Amino acid sequence: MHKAIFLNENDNVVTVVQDLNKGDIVIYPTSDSDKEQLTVKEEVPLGFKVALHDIARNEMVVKYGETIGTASAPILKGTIVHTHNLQSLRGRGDIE
Amino acid sequence: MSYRFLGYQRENGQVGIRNHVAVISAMDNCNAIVNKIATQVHHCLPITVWYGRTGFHDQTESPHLDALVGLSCNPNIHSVLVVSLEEESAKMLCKKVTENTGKTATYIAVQNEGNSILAVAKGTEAAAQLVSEATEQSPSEFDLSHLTVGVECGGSDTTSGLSSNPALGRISDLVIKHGGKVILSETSEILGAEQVLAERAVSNEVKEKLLSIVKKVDEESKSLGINLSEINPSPDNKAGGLTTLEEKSLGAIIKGGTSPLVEVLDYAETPTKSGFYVMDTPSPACESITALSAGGAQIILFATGKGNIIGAPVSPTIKVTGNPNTAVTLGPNIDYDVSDVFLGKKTFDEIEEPFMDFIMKVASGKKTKSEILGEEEVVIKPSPLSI
Repeated sequence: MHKAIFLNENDNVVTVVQDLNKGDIVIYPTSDSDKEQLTVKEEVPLGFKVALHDIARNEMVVKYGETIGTASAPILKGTIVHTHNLQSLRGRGDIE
Repeated sequence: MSYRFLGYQRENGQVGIRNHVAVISAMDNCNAIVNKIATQVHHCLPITVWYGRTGFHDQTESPHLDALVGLSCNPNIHSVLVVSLEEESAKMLCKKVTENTGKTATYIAVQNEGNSILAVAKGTEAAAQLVSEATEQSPSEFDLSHLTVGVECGGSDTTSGLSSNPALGRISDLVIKHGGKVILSETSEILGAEQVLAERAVSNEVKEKLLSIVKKVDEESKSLGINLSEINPSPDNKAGGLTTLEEKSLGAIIKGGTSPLVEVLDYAETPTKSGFYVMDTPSPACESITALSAGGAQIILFATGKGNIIGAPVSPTIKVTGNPNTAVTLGPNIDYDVSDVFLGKKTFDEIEEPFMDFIMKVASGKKTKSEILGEEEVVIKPSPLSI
């Protein structure tokens, strides 16, 4: 069984600890259960984040129990969350 | 558990974990002379710099002078030989070092000696004498209350915030529990996580100072019209899975542990009492670790994910990774591997004691990889104005 790291009950992403293939199942222990599972829908490299559920455009992405940015595109459960669909909210001199 | 290390007692009560004679360029035009002296005199530590010709004044902020005074005053330095083009700047630096610490700080000025060849000759003689004096001193045993630890991360990836930085955080808490000091730096890598640190401030004043230094970075990036996240996280951070600055910062601040935030230090400022500090510094590793050394950190714990090899010449720098791939590929540069925590094979509780034992070995004289390989650099924060 593959592993992922879940940090806080408010998080909507987990981080995988090894390279994964499409269809792999990861297990991520939470405070309630040590058996939570997620099927990844694409190849995921070690250390990348995967959505725990569908995340709508402009919805906050949460890791460490804190906002790490907002979804710049809809994110499907089990897919990678990275620069193509997550953007920073801070230090943004490029937007009004 | 009582942790102890072998260190060098200084006149002002501080304790060094190394016993260096530093040969320091006051300004960039003297770097070649410093390097020539260090070639001839074994066991001295050359420190060269860029800029500095107009850096010796008290009129406004002068990071150049503050950093050179701080580096010279670091307890790992037994004594100092300053090399300068002219006498006044060298005198100013030496006076501040001697007043602050009581240690020997002497200088040579090229213009006083007549030319560079004569300056090298005189500097060689002076440095050799200082090394002879330094090596008379034997180390003795001290506890953690004598230690200031700088915590740094560079070449980060998502493993940093999930394994190496939390491992450093464990050590930070342990050092403070035993009466030591811990300094976290890199202001722009607090941005996005400042709310977490602000809650730990011991007073409103400390909280406001923390928020103000972070706000300054945020506003500067806005006034420049840039998207900070396009620059930081860096390309290698992003290749390692880090997406936004908020995410990087939230992972970065964990290395400071969980203790109350005692004070926010200015660049190169030295903490006075036990506890957890934030220092206002740039975020690139060379600039940050130079500031930590200048603030008196005798040792630096440096977490890396994708791999950053650099260390601070004045403060032995322990390179720690939680990335199992980096632990192999960067093996010759890594001092301590905590990837078993990332992989879920070990807990932070299990690694805390052996990690601390390792740190005590380094504090007692074991060389770090960056010390052995000479991958060390001093980079002083640029002055607001190069006149």
